[in-house]
Amino acid sequence: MSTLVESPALSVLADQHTGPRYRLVHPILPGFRILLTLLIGILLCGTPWTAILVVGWTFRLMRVRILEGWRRQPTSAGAIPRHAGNNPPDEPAPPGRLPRWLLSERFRDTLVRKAPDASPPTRLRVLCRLPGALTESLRDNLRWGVMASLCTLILTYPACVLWLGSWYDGWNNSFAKGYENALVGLQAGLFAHLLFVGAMLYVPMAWAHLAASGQFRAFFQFRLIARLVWSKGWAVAGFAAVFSLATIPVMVLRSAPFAFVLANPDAWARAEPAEVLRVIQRYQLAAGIYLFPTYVLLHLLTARLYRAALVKTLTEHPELSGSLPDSLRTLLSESRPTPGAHPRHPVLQKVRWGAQSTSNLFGVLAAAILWFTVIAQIYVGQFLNYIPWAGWLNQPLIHIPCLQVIPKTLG
Amino acid sequence: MDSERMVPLNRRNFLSGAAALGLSSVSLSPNQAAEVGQRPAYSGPKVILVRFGGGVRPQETIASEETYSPFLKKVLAPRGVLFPRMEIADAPGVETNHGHGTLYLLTGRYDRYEDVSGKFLGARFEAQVPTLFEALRKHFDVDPHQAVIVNGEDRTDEEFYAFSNHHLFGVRFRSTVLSLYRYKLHVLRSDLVQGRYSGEEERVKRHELQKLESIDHRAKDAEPTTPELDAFWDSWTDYFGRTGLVNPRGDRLLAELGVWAMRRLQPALMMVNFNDPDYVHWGIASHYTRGISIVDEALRRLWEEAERLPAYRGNTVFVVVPDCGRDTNPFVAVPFQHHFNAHHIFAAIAGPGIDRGRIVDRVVEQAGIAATVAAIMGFPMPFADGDPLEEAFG
Repeated sequence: MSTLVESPALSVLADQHTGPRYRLVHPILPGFRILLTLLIGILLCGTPWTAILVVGWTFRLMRVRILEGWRRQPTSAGAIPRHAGNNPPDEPAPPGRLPRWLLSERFRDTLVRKAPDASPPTRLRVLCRLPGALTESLRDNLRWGVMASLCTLILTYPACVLWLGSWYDGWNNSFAKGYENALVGLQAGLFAHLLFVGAMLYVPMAWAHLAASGQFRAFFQFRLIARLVWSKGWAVAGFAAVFSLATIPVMVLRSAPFAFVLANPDAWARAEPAEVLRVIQRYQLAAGIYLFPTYVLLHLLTARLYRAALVKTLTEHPELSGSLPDSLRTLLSESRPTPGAHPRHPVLQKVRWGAQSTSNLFGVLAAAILWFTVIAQIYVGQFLNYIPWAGWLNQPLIHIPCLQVIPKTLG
Repeated sequence: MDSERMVPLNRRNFLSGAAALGLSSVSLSPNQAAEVGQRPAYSGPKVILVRFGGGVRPQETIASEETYSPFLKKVLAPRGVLFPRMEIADAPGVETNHGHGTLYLLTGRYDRYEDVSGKFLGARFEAQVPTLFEALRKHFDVDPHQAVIVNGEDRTDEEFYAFSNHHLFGVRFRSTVLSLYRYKLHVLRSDLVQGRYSGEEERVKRHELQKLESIDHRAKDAEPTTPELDAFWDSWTDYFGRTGLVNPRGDRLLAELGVWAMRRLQPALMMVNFNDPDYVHWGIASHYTRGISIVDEALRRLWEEAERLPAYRGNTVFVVVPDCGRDTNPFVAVPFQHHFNAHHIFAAIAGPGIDRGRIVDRVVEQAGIAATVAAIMGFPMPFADGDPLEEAFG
């Protein structure tokens, strides 16, 4: 874990950058950090509460990657944007490094930061700063996790809650043979599908915009984000395809417990609840091996998509920069991306616009169809192993990356 | 039930009778028409075979004081013999499913079945050996309307388990089926005969009827109905109307049809295929427990009707058995959601000639039910593999 690696003693070691110990540790340190980060991420996916930290950590990583991407972006003047050249004060991690889980990103600096009168901090002041520095990343991860989850929830829960209700009401009505109301559950379910597809065409791009801006309200800049989605129609479809493929193992992982006892049902029927709980807890924990990297990679993919979409959209519609949150506008103010070589003849411009719009339209329609395949997987999973609440309300690659397959009766 | 008209069937009589039936079982005359003409009238006990479906476990029914089927556990079973350790054989090709289980009950064999229409998850099976109804009607002079299957609307494939493909039995000895499907057929036929429709509407209705009739393609050479059956549906329609929206629904409908059948058709052998608990496949646990309670209440209705009606009082044996069990999977939120490997079931048999207050603590086979019913009614079940449950007879 980066937090452990960045303990004061090791920081000192890393700062020295010399000596035999450093030369021994240096080649393996980055790999060790990544492994430890992975391990912690996987473990945190074991419960829904800790998985919120994974959400926050992922959004901080997205922010790092988006800013780094812009930093590397060639500008019209061939210069690096002014603010991108320096680290913004709220940048979650130094460039090229993964965000931390626990300690402050600048742990040592935080502790030894000079007072306003430029005097070195007293021991008491260092001691007072210690709790904050020890938990700064944890608090950031939590803050980002809650913010990102809340944003996602606001846009996706109308569909998820309606799924829950339509499934319950639809089958309840079918059980009672309420022929007269047979369409209520079905129609509500179909309406939920449309809501979900609409939300998921929007949400991934909004995730990245949220990560880049760090502002809650940025998630709801519908006009701007819709424009970004539209500008990358086929890339959005590609993302939906990748997401749908990535959801298949989630469906399998969530459904698999239905088959746990098929080989020897009687043995498990007599098992103690504590033993069953132990097995299913380990299973849920192990599922993090897939969930954590997949969740992170999918979000990084959408960050990449957003990065390109924003630059493309601002190039074509510079007036939109006015609607960007201040932090982003400042960051991109000197980027001045190179405008593409567009035909100048009005007829050719219209032809180009028409072709581009048609392509975007088909791209978005393809994306919508692909999001329907995600819905189908959710339904198949629920049929095979019904998870009463979380099965509808938590889609692990969208909301909280936790499988949530432990039956309530087991505790 | 009262046993004032109890059939004198003890264990010794049962064993000797079963042996005699076994010896005569396959000695079928080549001239079936002549044989049919010589059949004796049936005068034995009536049997009501309750398929406590679709798929229930002992845990929620007979194995717990917190039962969802209090009538079965606390009234019926103590008045008869309970087999709490009944199994569906755990062997290759044996499925723990509704259609399969129903045919295991009807034929006494764990045959391999495949949907004849090739439909995904279809259960349009065709038995290769005679069903209980065919065996009864071949041995005794029992009218078609006195061998009845009451079927639900959720599993229409099971409508067509009324007869086998066996060349010595088959459609001529089939049972009568009572269901919403048959009700619709009756309404359409009678409407068209009475000229209720004309023009385009009539054409549409004829097409609808043709479509419904084509589902029962195996019975195309048989008489589609009988006067008794027509009278039954006429009275049903007089009371409940023609819409299908007034009669009880779900398994309550099956109880209603069963009670009506007992009053009007007086079947010697009636099988009621309950199915409501199977809704738990969709994950809502209460549909399972609620379904069990509904079936239990339906069972109570049938029992009380048998006590009330002179034709049945003291002369009716109830055989209650699930088509299959349900999984017991502690790793999931709804442990009994499916029945992939659900071999544990139970059976309760009560009525005249059946021992009382007995719990048989040994493993018995579901395939034994057919031979047991045959033994109770006194006809051979020549192709059944399962052994009769002799403990039932004291």
